[in-house]
Amino acid sequence: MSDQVAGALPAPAGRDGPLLRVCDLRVEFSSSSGRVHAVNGVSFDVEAHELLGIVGESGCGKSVTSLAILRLLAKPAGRVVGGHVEFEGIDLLSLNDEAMRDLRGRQVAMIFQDPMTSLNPVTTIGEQLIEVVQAHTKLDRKAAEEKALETLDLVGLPNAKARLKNFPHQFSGGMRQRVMIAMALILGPKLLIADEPTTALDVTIQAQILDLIARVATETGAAVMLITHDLGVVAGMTRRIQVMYAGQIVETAMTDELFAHPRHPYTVGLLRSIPRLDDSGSRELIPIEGLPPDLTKLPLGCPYAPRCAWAIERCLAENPPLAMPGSSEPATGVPLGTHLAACWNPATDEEARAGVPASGHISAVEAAGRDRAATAAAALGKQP
Amino acid sequence: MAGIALPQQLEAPIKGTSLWRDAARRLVRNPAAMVGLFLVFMFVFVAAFAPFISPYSPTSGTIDDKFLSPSLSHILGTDLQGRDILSRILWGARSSLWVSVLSVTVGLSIGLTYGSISGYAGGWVDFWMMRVVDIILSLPGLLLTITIVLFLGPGLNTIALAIAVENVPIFARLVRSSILALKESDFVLAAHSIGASNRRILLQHVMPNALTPVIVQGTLALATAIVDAAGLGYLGFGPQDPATPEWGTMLTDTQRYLTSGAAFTALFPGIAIILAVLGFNLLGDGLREALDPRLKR
Repeated sequence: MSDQVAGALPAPAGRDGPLLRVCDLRVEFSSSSGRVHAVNGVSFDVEAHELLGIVGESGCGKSVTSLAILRLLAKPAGRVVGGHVEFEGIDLLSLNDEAMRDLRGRQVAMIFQDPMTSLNPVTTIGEQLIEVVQAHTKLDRKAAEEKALETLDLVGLPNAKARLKNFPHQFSGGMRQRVMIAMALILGPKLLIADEPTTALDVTIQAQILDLIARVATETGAAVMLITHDLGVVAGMTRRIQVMYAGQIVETAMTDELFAHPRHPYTVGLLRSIPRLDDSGSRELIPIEGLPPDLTKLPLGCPYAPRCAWAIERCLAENPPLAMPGSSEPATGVPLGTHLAACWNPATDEEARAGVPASGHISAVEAAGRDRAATAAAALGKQP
Repeated sequence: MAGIALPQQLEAPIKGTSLWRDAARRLVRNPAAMVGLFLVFMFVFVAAFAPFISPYSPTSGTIDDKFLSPSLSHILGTDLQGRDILSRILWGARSSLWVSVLSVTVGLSIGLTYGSISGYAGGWVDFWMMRVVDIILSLPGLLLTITIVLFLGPGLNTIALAIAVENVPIFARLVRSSILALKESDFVLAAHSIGASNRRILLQHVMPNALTPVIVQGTLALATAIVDAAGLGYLGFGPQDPATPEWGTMLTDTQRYLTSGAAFTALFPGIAIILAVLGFNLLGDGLREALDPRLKR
C-alpha cells in the first residue's frame, strides 16, 4: 500500500487543519415522490491553495454538496440532515445568516455552470461587479470600480473600461464566464467552487476558461473545488480527484494515481467510456450500462452494485466504506491524497486496463438469475 | 494574459444598448402601438391643457342653447343645459386621467409590495397572503367597488380608491408569479453566492426583472380604470359637483333625451371613452410585445 500513500500531499504549513473540512454531510430533498437522499455521508478535506476535482454524473450530488457548503440549497425542499462543514475551523452550518452572507463571496465564492443565466440581464456587468465589492467592503464607488477593472483585466477581458457599461447580453458565453470568474475572485476568496464552469461553453473556449481558472487561482492563492462530469476536464488541471456516485464519494486519489490505477469499478467504467487521444485506435469504448439508482430508495448495499460487473454477494448486502483498497475498515486520519475506494471487490490494474473483470467472474447481480432487474429491484427495495 | 487576450480591434466597444432601449426601438416599429401612444398622448395633453384649449367654460351655458346640433360655434353641440359638449369632454379627460392614474398608482404600489413579500417570503406567509387575495378576487368586482363607494361617498377620489382595491390582487398575483420564477433563477443564486443581502437581491435583481409584466398590466389597467370610472359615473357615483365634468356622468345626464333627436350628446362622450381606452389598450399590447424577451430577434 506504500506506493499509494507516497502520492499524498505534504503536510500543510502554518495553520493546523484543512481550509475546508466536510464531515459525513447528508442532504435530503423532499419531493412529491418522497425523500431524495441527494448526499449520503460525504467527507473530505480541501487544503489551502489546492486544486481538487470532484467528478460524477448528473445527480450524483456533486453540485448539491457545494451548495450545501455555502448553505444555498433551495429552501424549503433541500436541507442538510447530518454532518458538518468547517471552513478554517468555523462551523458553517451553525453560523448565523449575517456571518454566512459575509463569508460568501469574500471567503468562499462560486462559479456557476451557465454564464448565460447567471448574470442579471437588466444590470450592467460593472454594476454587478461593484455590487460584490460594496456588499463586503466599505470601499466607495470609485475604488470599487477600480477593483472591478483590475479584476476584469486579470481574467483577460479586453477593453475592460468600456465593457463595464455593457449588459450581459452583449457578451459571448466565454466572455460572460470570464465576468463570472471576475465576480467570484474580485475579493480574493480563499476557496473557489467552480460548478461545471465549462459545461455550457464551446469546446474551443473550455480549455481557455479552465486555464484561466487555474491561473487566477494560483495568482490569488485560492483553493479550487472543480466540479465536473468530464474526467478530461479535471485530468490536466487538478492535483487530486474525488469520484462521486449516488451521493457518496466512491474513490479518491491524486490525479495521476487515479488515472493510472483506478480501483473502483465506477471509476474504471468512467475511464473506459471516454476516448483517449494517447491510446491506440484499437481500444474499444465500454459504456456503463443501466441508470443511477433512484435516490428516493437507496439500496441496502453498494449503490453501484446493480450496474457493476465486479459485484459480489457482499455488494448487494452491505455498503462498502471509503477505505484503503483491500481493507474493509473505513479510512480515518490518513494523509490527504491517499488512494481510497469504497468497494468490496476493487478492480486490479489488469482488469482496469481491460475494462472488464477477469474472466470467470460473474457479477453477483447476473448470478442471481437472468432477470437482473428483478434482483436489483429487490435489493433496491430495502431501505438501509 | 498570455494566449487569452483577444486582439483589441475585435473587441471594439459596443454601444451600451440596454434592454429598455431595445424595447423602445421595437415599440416604435409597431404601428398599432404608435397609434396607441398617439391616443394616450392626446388624452394626456387634453387633460393637462383643458383650461387653455376649451372654447367655452365646461360648466356654464344658457338654457336657450340646449341641444344645439354640432355647428361651427359648438363643434360637438351642446347638452341639455346648453353647455358646450367639446369643452365638457376636454375637461372630463381630467377626471378620467385622474381616476385612472390614481387607481393604478395606488393599486400597483400596494399590489407590488404585497406580491413581492408574498412571493419572496414563500411558505406559510405566501400561502395565507394568497388566500386573502383569493377572497378579494372571489367578490364580484362591480359589487365590491360599489360597496366601497357607498361607504366612502361618491366622488372621483373614492371611485379611484375603489378601483384600486380591485387592482391590488391582480398586481399582487402577477408580481408574485414573476418573483417565484425569478427566485429560482441562476443569477439570483449567483447573487446569494457572492453574499448579497436579501433586500439587495429583491431590489436589484428580482424587481427590475419582474417589472416587465407589471408595466404591461399597468397600462392595460389604466384602460380598465377609465371604463370603470365611466361606469361608476354613469351609475351616479361620479363627482356630485356639476363643475367637475365626467364622461360617465355626461352619459347619464343625457340618456333620457337620446330618442328626442339629441343622440350626439351621448355619442361624443362615448367616443371619447372609446378612444382613451383604445389608446391604452393598443399601447399595452405593444409594450407586451416590445418587452417580451422571447420575441427578441
